[in-house]
Amino acid sequence: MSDPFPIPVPARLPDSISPCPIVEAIFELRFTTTETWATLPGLLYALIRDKYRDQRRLPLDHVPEELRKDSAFTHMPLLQFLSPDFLIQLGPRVISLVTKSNAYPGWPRIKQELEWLLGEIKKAGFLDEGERLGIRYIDFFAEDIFPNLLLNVHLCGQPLKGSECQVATVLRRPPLAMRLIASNGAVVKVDGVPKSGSILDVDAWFGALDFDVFENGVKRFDDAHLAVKQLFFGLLREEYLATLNPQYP
Amino acid sequence: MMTLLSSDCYHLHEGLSDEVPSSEVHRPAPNEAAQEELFLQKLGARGWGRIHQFRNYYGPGWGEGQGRSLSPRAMAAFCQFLETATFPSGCLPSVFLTDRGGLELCWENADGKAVQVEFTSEGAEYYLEEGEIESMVSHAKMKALAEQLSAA
Amino acid sequence: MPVPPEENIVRAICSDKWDGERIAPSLFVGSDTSVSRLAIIPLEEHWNLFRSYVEKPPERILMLIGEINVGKLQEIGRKHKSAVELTVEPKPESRNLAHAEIPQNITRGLANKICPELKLHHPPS
Repeated sequence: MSDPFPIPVPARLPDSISPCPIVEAIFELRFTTTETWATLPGLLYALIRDKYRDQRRLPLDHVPEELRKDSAFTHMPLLQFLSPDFLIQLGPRVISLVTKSNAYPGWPRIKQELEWLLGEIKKAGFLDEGERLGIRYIDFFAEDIFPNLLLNVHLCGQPLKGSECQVATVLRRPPLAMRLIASNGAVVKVDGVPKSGSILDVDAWFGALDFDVFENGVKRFDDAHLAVKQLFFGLLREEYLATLNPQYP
Repeated sequence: MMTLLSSDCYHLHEGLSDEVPSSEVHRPAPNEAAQEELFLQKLGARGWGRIHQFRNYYGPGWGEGQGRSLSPRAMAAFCQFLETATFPSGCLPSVFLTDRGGLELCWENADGKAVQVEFTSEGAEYYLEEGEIESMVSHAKMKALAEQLSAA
Repeated sequence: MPVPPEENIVRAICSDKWDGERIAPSLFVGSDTSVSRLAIIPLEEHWNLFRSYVEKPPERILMLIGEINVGKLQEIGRKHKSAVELTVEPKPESRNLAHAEIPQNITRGLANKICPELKLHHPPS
């Protein structure tokens, strides 16, 4: 199952579009550790507390550890650390940097924060081995996105139009794997107000053998970001992109 | 299991959400189904079950306190090896978890001589009873190693 | 003072190292391998002793106890193509006064010579 990547890479990619559709971007590292959950938050917080003062326990942290052993919970965060621009989420085997809702600061700022965070993780010394390095971008559009995409759904030979629809597929650009979800039946909160529309949800990741956290972790995040960006702009119809005020470098 | 990043920043309209949960249907993460099938096919139910246990129930400090949990790199190398490897007819290899978090695969060749590979975070160490050969290769050589040992 | 060759030693074999058909060679691979002396604590008492600190049911279960004579172990080490002088050094612990270690590095090839010589004991019914 190794077909060529079906989405052509655009000749040029915008630096930004307006309005920015990114609701949330998550940059995640899964890892193994010899530390227990009891010590992990302290090891990290000691190094990040100047920037990330506040903490918040997530609902799963209230579940007894014995019940959290189910594999469904292995990579879920239990704790959040907050700063003005980002969240850091931490679990027994996962750490992620998350942008604030509907406040995407741009890739250069994110990359800077990732470089800093990986440096602090290295100092903390709890990361034994990387298991998965991934990013997830969730974009929201206030309209039905399908007519604006180079993605057509057909039913009995006829284009499927006007129905609530969700398409999910896994695409591979070795060594990267990417899961794309497009749906025109989603609800997000914008400034606290629920809004109905469409989402493009792309999750791209490297497996354990394809990255080394401290040797090329930032580069891999960079590679994944570029691949997601190429997929996103490769999927949009040109005429629709023109309506989004693309700013080119 | 390569589950996807979690986010709760959106939810789907009622019509697209799973209204009636089904315990019969499990949507695996990408590649998970193929991997499970690989384990069952090459290692049988016994080997498949043991890998599930090693992945999910052997946390850091297992055993007498020094056991390391299963290395993701060892696991990935093991899967790459298994995709190409073939075993003598009727032979189901054994799989073990080593104290340093590696996966150890053991079987006998057609002449009944032991063939063993330990997949670690650094590479793969192998042993051939025939000739008493001990050596190691990097992760990049998993397919070649599988071809070599399948013919051993 | 190393354990004399007349003594027999045992090693716990849990479910991660025994699948019902084969023993993992990694049971002995490496250095500082933990063993226990039957001259200090008899075999029958080793079952509960080992269970108290190596078992974690339902996942990790004590399946077998493997026994070998120290002299036999040393002979195997000497006769190996890369000969190694194996010793068993007493290292009593509060949880196991019979605890000892084989400090020397045992390669996979050597471990493959040791494992077939183990006398395997099954749990008493």
